[in-house]
Amino acid sequence: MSAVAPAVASRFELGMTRALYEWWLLIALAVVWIAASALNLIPNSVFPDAQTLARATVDLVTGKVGVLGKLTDHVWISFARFAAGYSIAAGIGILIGLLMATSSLIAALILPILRLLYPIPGLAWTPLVIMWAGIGENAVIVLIFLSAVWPIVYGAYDGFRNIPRNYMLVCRQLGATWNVRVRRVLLPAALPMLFSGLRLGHGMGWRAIVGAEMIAAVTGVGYMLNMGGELRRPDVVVVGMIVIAIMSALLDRFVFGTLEDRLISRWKR
Amino acid sequence: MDSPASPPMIEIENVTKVFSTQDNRNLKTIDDIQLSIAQGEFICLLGPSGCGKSTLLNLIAGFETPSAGIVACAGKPVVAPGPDRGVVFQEHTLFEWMTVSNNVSFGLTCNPDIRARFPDAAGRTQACIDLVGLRGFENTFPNFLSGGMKQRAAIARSLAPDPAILLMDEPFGALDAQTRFIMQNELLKIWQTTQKTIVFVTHSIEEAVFLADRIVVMTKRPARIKEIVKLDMPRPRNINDPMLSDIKSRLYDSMASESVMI
Repeated sequence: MSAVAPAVASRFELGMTRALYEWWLLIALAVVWIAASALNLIPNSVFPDAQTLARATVDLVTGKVGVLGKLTDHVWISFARFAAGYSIAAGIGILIGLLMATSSLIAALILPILRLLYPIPGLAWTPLVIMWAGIGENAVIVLIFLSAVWPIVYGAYDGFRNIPRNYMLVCRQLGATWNVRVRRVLLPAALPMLFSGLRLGHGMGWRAIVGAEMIAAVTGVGYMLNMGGELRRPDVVVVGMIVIAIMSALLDRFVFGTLEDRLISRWKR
Repeated sequence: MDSPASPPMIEIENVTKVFSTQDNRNLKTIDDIQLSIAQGEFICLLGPSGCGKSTLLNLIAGFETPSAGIVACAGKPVVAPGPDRGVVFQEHTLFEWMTVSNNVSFGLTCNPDIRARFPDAAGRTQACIDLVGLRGFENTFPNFLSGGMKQRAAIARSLAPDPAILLMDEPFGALDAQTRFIMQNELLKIWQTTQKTIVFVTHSIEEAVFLADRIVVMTKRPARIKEIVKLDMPRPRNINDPMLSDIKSRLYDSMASESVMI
């Protein structure tokens, strides 16, 4: 070992060590699965082996599976639906939470409704939503909205409600304008709880999208995955599952993780 | 200080405050208080918990309006809070998401008038941070400061817009005894440097005796002024000074007769 090189190497090693430490079980399972695949021990009609899954992935990406269409198209469609449903959920959820926090009358009116609706899985709305909106784009977007909105409302409500009274007194005493109060005090003060509501809602939205697309759409990763089942193609189903997991994990880690580091973690303890 | 030439900095004239409770009863917290505070004076409001001394402070600050009577600061009646009257609370007032420096400069940048008054906000901020002994912690977030340092930062923030009056509501009440003693000494130094008029709410006799020019002892609710004790001793004071001990025991007797069952 030289005395100079380690700076870079050790950081890489550290990262690998951490990944191994956190993911060893997953990695071990993957190794077992690949070994079993190599020995042809896995019946493909039940669960795909490694080579089948790899081939299915390539075929789906290049659009060679006929009726199933191209994976990249499905991914894009699902993502666009998610973005639409989630944005509406965020906007409306924050607004309702804010109104509830501002007025105890509004809170008293809305809280009982919220308590009733929150435990209902978003997908339980599917038959109704299909009756209202038909099969397709709008139904999926509404279902994502109905799954993601509840934790966002609660997060915003708790965030804005729990702003210490003294913060507003300080603002009044120092003569802060309303613009300054909202932008520099109220929003940042509410942010930690608001943010955890948004993050929770994000996860709920992804959970809902597969189910919603299975029933209420003829495109999207959820639809592809469902068709895989109809066609007795476990490999297609597993590819769909992995894609959903990766999409939500990437967004969660890189968008929410980065925002949290930048906006909250450096001051919150 | 008694010369009629200099008008009082704070004038409280026959002030009464009545709150209506949730079940629509009227709760009188302050009853006909008359008090005049000179420019540069250090006043401690001393009284049992819940007696209404914080309410009196809030009336001067402008957070509350009197039910009867007038509060005037520098000759003008108080109608709303304002940067001419800095307030330091007991705790939970620093903006957690702002560094010490941004907390202190908040009051210098939060409206157009104040921005015009302090074109060099950065310089003023640094001066206030230096004054409270927080140099080197400009970029630290409040959650990474000790309790005493948080209160130093809170004092710096309230001093930044250069208020004539500093209103302090048990600012050291949540600190441990040693930190509290250090902060009391710091505050006296800041007071001597800046010549502010300070109204300091406390329920600690020791604290009042250590700090004040005059101690205003208040009765239990509804608060009236029970007596005003003038202390003409130089600072820093020795808390074991026999003269102070006499005053302390007198104050203990005075407070004991006002103790309430809680």
